[in-house]
Amino acid sequence: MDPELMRLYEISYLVSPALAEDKASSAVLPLKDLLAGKNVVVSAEEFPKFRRLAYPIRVAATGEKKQVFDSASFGWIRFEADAETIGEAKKLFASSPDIIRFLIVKAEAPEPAKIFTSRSVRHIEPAFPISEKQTSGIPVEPKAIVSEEELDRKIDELVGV
Amino acid sequence: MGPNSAHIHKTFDYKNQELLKKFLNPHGRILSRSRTGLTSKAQRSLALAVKRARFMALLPFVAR
Repeated sequence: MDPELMRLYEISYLVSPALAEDKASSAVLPLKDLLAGKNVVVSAEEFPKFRRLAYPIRVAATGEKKQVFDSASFGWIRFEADAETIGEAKKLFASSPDIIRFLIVKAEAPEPAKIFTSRSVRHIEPAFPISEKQTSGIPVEPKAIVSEEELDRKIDELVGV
Repeated sequence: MGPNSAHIHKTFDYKNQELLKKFLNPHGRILSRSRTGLTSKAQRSLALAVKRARFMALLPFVAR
């Protein structure tokens, strides 16, 4: 595989609740320094927000007893990088004492997560775009002038008298 | 039942847990395709997104 190949990556992470929500973003500062050193531009980002976890996470710090976390700050960062950079980022996160869990994924869509909107508020596009040009292009048939007798005759014809 | 919205949802994001929750039963299991009404591709995207969200503790592996 080409090591120079740039891919869009997304790293989401959980910061230990030992760091307050406003200080949680300092846990990703080493990553930011790494990215800045490699001239990598961060394309999207969400700062860590404090939240309850869906289940308690047990993390063993090196040589210590397992710690149980039932809340953490969840944040994510998205950037385009090569394989070498993402490998270094992975090492940084794994060795960080403040980050209790992280996930690296290849991001498909360039835009960040869309908030779900219900069908009722969704804008519906017409199946065929009707423009001014199209309507004016259609030749309008001139209305034929029909006399009373002719009309009666036609009706009789249709009725079958 | 999950919203029958195959034409809206083509891909799912694991961070959008409010949306993903609509496709889980009360025990936290992913609904079947017959319940969600999704296309095959969208259902696979949903399964991947739910599993990622579970790993990051945004969704439970088992509820109740």
